[in-house]
Amino acid sequence: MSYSSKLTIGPILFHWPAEQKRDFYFRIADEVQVDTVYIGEVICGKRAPYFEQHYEEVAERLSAAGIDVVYSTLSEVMIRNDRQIVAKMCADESIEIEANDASALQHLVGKKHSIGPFLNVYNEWTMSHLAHNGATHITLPPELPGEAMDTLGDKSKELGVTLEVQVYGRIPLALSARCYHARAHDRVKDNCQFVCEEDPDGLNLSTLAGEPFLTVNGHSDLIPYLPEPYA
Amino acid sequence: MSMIQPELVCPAGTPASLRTAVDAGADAVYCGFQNATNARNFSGLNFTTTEMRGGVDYAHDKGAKVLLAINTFPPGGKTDLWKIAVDDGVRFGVDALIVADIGVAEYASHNHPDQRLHLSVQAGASSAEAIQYYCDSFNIKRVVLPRILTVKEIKAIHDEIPCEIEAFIFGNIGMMAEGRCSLTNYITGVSTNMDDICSPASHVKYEEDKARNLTTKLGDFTVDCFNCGENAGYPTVCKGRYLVDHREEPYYAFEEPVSLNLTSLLPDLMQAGVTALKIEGRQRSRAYVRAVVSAFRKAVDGYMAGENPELSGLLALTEGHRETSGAFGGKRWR
Amino acid sequence: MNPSRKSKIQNLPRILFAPLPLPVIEPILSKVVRTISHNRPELTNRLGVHKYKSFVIDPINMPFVLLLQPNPDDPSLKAYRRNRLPPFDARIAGTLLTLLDMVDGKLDGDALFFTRDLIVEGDTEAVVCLRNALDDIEGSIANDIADIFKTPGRAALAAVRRIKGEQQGSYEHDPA
Repeated sequence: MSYSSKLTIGPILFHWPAEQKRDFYFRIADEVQVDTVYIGEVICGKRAPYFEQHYEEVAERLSAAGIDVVYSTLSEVMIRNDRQIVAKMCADESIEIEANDASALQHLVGKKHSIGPFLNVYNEWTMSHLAHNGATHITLPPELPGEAMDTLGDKSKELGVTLEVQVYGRIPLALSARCYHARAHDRVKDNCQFVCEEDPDGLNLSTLAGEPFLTVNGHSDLIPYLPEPYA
Repeated sequence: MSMIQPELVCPAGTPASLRTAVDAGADAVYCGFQNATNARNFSGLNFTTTEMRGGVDYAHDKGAKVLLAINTFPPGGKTDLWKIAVDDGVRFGVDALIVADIGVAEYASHNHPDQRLHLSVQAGASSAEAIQYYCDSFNIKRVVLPRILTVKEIKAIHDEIPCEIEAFIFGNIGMMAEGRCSLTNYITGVSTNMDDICSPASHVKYEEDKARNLTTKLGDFTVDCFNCGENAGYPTVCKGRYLVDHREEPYYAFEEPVSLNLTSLLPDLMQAGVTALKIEGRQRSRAYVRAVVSAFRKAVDGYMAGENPELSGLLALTEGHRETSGAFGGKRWR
Repeated sequence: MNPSRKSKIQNLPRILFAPLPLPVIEPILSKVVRTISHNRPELTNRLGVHKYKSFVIDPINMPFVLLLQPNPDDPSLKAYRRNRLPPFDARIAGTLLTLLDMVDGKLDGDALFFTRDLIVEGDTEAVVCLRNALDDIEGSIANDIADIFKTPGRAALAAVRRIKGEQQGSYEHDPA
């Protein structure tokens, strides 16, 4: 049996200046051969407005290069601002959405959509439920064991759902309501002054014994090193 | 505004704790089986099926409810264990199942439509839309809110959703989004979501030197170091001290060793529409259960009678001997 | 109470009992562990794989430590001088009364750990499991032990409890 795997680029997890982000996507359109690119802010609702003005031009440029564009929703949705961002994105019938929390699911009932890695799909029960809700493509959580992945692979064929897994890059390990970037600078989320922009690759923590440990990125923590690319 | 008599929901890690909680005035106890279906799968804790049946009988005889936590995420191909747990719970007559996984919720609501379902904090439903989704899909009757919202925000959610709200009022304070934290897995290879344990004791090492300085390690990583006489905390990643380039001293990057204590906010929570008050601590002892449950029983009854009950003495049971009102107290916690 | 006075009172038994020849207490300990193992089978069930491990119970204010092997086929509890300990899997240390009150469900193990009144070393999971298993046992194990020795046993326990004085207590005031 042969598989034709597609290559995708996940959303940018860090807070870069909007123009830098835009140019990054332009370069992808011009120079990189991938099938799909996920855009959209997944970590922090406060960051989201900065890039909104560029969505259209970035999406157009990527589409013109033959790349599919999917809009990823926020992974942690709590305050009114977060909720409005998700509601607005999901209401746009012209774009493809990747849902990263249950609030997005509520807006997408009965509509075709994708499921992102921040939404827990661990088993065939969950997969069936989501497929019946309108999901046609699912990115599995990075911690899912290979055996479970086999089972889900079989189930996805039965349901007509396509699957995706992360094979390269930093892995998001945890999300929080608290902003650890602000905390590292003795600030809180409401007066963060976007200090996370100072660390385009995140803020590295090491243990008391000096070992490199985690990277802090706004509300989330990531594994601090890049795993070897898949052979 | 009038207040509805809230349900005091108390932890039971063992059958003896269940009886202690019920006798101390719990309206409901929550507990789980001795396996991966339960998010507090610590060694030496939890219930066999026989013990669960006995626990339900004991609680019901004394007018208390039993809420069965089946609040983990079954990995593909391994759903049978969760199926058995749900079926057993229904058979034993538990008053509600606390579920987190969409698949487990689907199984339970489809196969046992009359069984009351609660949405676990592990589902991390933190907005009205998310909660509404679970209510519409699985007929969820109560949501356990993540410990990340202010009282004002809880009130706003209450006004928008069709189900009851349960909120934590005491105990360990979780600041990572529950159900979506792989920190333990990264360090130990044991998954909080699937193997059902955060910071498993099998990977914890305490090293105390002659001067009584205590180093706590999780897996190969040093999580914290306490001087002699300094109060200690749990050996979890999120309560550890770390170094960062721009600070001279190590700092608590996520949270300090501290426990949640919402005693002073109880009337506000009750007025915000919280109808179930939850005490954390299935891994704690009978001594903890007895003290905390009795204290909150007195406090809730006092507030309902229009009094202003004095509540002290719980500090001795808090992590690091410190308490906080966490996110509930205001936005500055974030 | 000032700390040095507290520590002097705490350590009193260590001095008083120092001359006690350990072989004298061996049969007593043996009887204690066999009785508990026999009367409380649920304890070994909860211990699971950890029932085959060896635990050092170290009452820091006594002149000896105890080595517990809960293995239900051959449960044993033996006393050793601190400098002659055989290899063990895990060690739990605290004052005699801290340990007794924890076993009796009067004090919380986590809280004692937070305040550094309880020291854990070695196989942490085995210690946590033993703690959890003991906590499921209702009634007083200390009283059970005292009862084995009838009136002299109960008198001895009462005497030990009196030493406690202001040092510590349960989290509520005893109504009695």
